[in-house]
Order: sequence, then C-alpha cells, then structure tokens
Amino acid sequence: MQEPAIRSEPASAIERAYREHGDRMWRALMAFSGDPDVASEAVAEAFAQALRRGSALRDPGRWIWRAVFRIARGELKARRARPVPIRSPHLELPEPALELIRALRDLPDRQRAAVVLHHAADLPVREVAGALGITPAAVRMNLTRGRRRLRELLEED
Amino acid sequence: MNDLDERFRALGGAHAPDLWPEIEGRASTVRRRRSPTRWVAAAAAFALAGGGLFLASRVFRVEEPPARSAGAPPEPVVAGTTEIPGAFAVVPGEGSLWVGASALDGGCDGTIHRIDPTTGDTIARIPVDAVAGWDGSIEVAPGAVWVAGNLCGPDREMGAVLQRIDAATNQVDMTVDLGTGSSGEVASAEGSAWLTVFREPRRAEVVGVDAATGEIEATIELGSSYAHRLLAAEGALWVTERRDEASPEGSGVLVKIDPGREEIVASPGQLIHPPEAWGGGLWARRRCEIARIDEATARITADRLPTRCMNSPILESILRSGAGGLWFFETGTNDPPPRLVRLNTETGDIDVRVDGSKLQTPIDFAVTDTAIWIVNYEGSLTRVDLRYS
Repeated sequence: MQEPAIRSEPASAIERAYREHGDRMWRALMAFSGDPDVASEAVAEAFAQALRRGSALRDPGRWIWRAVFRIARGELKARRARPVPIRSPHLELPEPALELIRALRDLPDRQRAAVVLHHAADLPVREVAGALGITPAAVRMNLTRGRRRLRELLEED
Repeated sequence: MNDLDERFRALGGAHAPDLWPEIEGRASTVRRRRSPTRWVAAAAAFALAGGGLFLASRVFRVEEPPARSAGAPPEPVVAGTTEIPGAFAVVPGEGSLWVGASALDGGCDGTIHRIDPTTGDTIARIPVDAVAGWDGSIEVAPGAVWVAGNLCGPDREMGAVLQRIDAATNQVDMTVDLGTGSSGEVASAEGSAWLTVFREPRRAEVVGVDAATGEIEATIELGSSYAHRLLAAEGALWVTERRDEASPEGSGVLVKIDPGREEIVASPGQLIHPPEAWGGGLWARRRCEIARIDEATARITADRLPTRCMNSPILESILRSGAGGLWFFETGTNDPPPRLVRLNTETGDIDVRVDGSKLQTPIDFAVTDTAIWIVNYEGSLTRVDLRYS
C-alpha cells in the first residue's frame, strides 16, 4: 500500500511538507467536516504532533494524513451535531461548491473521507488507501458509492 | 467532465490560512514541558517492565487499594497505555470496562472490548454490526450492554439500530431496528433502554425500547434536530438539545423528560453542557464553573463552584463522576495541555490533578473506584491509577 508522498525528515522537511500539502489537506478536511475551523484545528494539531515526534515518526506521510482525519473526527465528535453552516470569512465559494459541501455531510464517514481525499485533495486511490488505512479495493467501493449518492443528493436539490 | 467534477474544481477556491506559526507554537510548547529526566524515567520503567506487549499487560495490573482515609485525596499515577485501534468510548459496569471501537476498514461495524479492570486483561472482543462512534452510545445496564449504531453496507439501508449484548455470554442477543435515521446516545432505566434518534428532515427523537422484548414503547419528539448526552437520573431522562447551531460547541439547552408521561416537563432554556449525576444530584459544566442543577425545574442553581476555563471544546463537555468527586479536564497552568482534575463537591476544592503532559489526546474517560480510564484518539486506552495512602 502506497502512502501519500511526504518524506521522512526532521522539522524542516515537515515544514516543506506543510507548504506542499497543507493547503489541499485543509481543503479536503474542510469538505469532509463542512467547517473551516475543524479543518484548521486538525491540520495545525497533526503537523504540530509530527514536529514533536521528530525522527521518532517512521512514516510521517501516512501518519499525518491519518492524523488529520482522526483529529477532525474527534473535533466533530465533540461537536456531536452535523457540521455547522459555513460562515467563515475565509470561504467565498461559488454556490455549487457550497451545495457540494452540504451534500457531503449526508455521506457515511468512510465514503466522505474517500471522496474528499480523492477529489478534493487529488490523491490517487493508493494514497487514499494509505491515508485511511484501508485497501485500494475498499477505497474504490467507497468512491463509487459516494459519488453515486452525491449525485442523487445534488439532483434532489 | 461532469457536474460533480466541476463542483469539486470549484472547491479549489478555498484556501487555508497560514497555520505554520500556530503549528510551531504548539510543537514548541509541548517540547519544553518534557524534561530529559522524564524520558529517562519512562525508559527505565519500560525496561523494568520488559517492554512491548508485556508492558501493555503489566501496566494495568494493580494491587487492591488500601482502606482510604476519609477526605484524603488519592495520588494519580499514569500506569500505562494499551492500543485499542478505533477506540472511541469507555464505560464501566457489570464488573468490567467496555470499550467501543470502530472498524478501521470503512464499515459501520465495530467491536466492544470487555476488559477486566483489575488485571487490564481483555476478557472478550464482541463484534457488533453497528457502532455510533462516540461516547454515550454505549450503556451498561444490569446484565446487559446496549450499543447504539447505524447499519450500512452493500445489502443494507442506512438505519439506526440498538443492539443488546448479554453480559453473561458476551454475545449480541437482540438487535432493535429503529428505522431510517441515525442513532445517538443511549441510557437505561427501569426495564427500558432509551436513545436519541435523528431523522430527516432534521428532527430528533428520544425513543424508548422495552429491554425485555425489544419493542419500541415510546417516541418523544424533541424541538430541535440534534441533542446529546442522554442521561437517566433522578427519575427522569435528561438530554441536552442543540437548538442553536451558533451556541458553544458541545453545549445546549437542558431538557427534562418524564419517561412515564412520555413528554418534556422542563426546559429552562439555559445554555449548559450535559449533566452528570453525582451525590444524589445533578451537576453540569457551564463556562468556567460547575453548577448544580435543580432536579425539579432543570434550572441552574446558585450552588456553583468555580473552575479554570477550558479552551478545548472537545473536552469541555465531558464530565464524569465517581471515586470521590466530579472529574473533568481543565486548562493547565501556563496553558495546554489540559489536565484531568477531580472536584470535591463537598469542599469545593480541586484536590486531584493528573498532569496533561503525561496523557495522549483524550476523547472520553470513565471513572472506577481505583482508576481513571482514558480513551485517546490515537486509538488507545490509558489507565491512571488512584493510589490512596
């Protein structure tokens, strides 16, 4: 199983990884959670923990991608409710994108994660599998079902 | 190219704020707190224990606590951490700890790990078809463990279910179909299991299930689309409704339900975190204080004890009782990480503190007489022994 391509190096490499991947990681999490604050919290905490672990982190690529989703899930769990409406001043998205984020809320967790990693973060299937800790076959299944359900939801609107 | 791809492309207009200063700040704060001495001590402890799996099993082994002197607070000692991938909740009862863990393969199923609190050994791993994935979705009742969750899969419609595990056999012996929707949290009282169910379009219900037959015996409509922490205490059901999505995370409006009349009997409209039963009353966290709740009116009383404010919404709403007081997380001195503390409600003092730097990232915890059990988002369970002198 292949991991997202972040190399294992100390702090400077973690920063490079952040500069390279942070934006699309945040975008994927924002789509996943529907909440820019959850996305920011998860990205900041995951990279901070990667920095703290330093060279003890054998596989930072997989670790960071997995960590951001676990942290985001933890944040959402704390909020319990479905994601709050998007109000952040950072977000000035066209209505089709906002409709998409709203529809994503109605996907099961794993489908939503697979869809946003593949389509919002542009990770190939193998890297999505590495990030989620599931097989590529399971990713493809979740992508197929997730996309189908998304289309249904968006047509209902 | 199709409509869906275009929508995803439109997401590209969303850009992250520069988080790197925040990342560096968080990382350096924690690095300063961890002294070399602590690492040496940790390494020595690991070596003494024999390392690896042996450590994982030994750290939960504790001696019987000596008789405790009245009023003497215990010394908390972080005894160790064992991995439970996907762990999301821990509940004590029936002489065991019950740890819920989500499947890591994309399914909606999971496993309930039954753990001996004395030895730390896993007594049973009980597969369940559905788990909700958050604390409060597991409830221990006499002879049974209730697990709320949602079914999914290629051959199933998304649906809420309530499963019962027979504590004598460690087998699921009942699955109650609650129809289309999402299940929330579960409580049990006097022969019934109660749980929150969220339906579309955006309405929440409290559903009562006959514990013996699995028949749905009551449905109580709530006034909002979401609610959390269903609690059975003081002859009533208590649930915290999130009526305004702009309200602080984890908080809501406390609602008292009379299960006999199957109706809401009090809802004063005060924003509060979910309550906990302790010492014959109800307590809840609210901003920077712990307040007692009037059981008749569901209102906050004047009986309030100040606490440090908490800057993490993840932990602010979790309040647990047992082992001599109310337990919760608060922001530590000189900022994070949050520490776990005990509030002695008789004296109003915080008299036990667990150093947050020795913990991972807590998402739930349970209190037994001799230990605190903390589930971490890292997929692990940490035991903090309470040692009485």
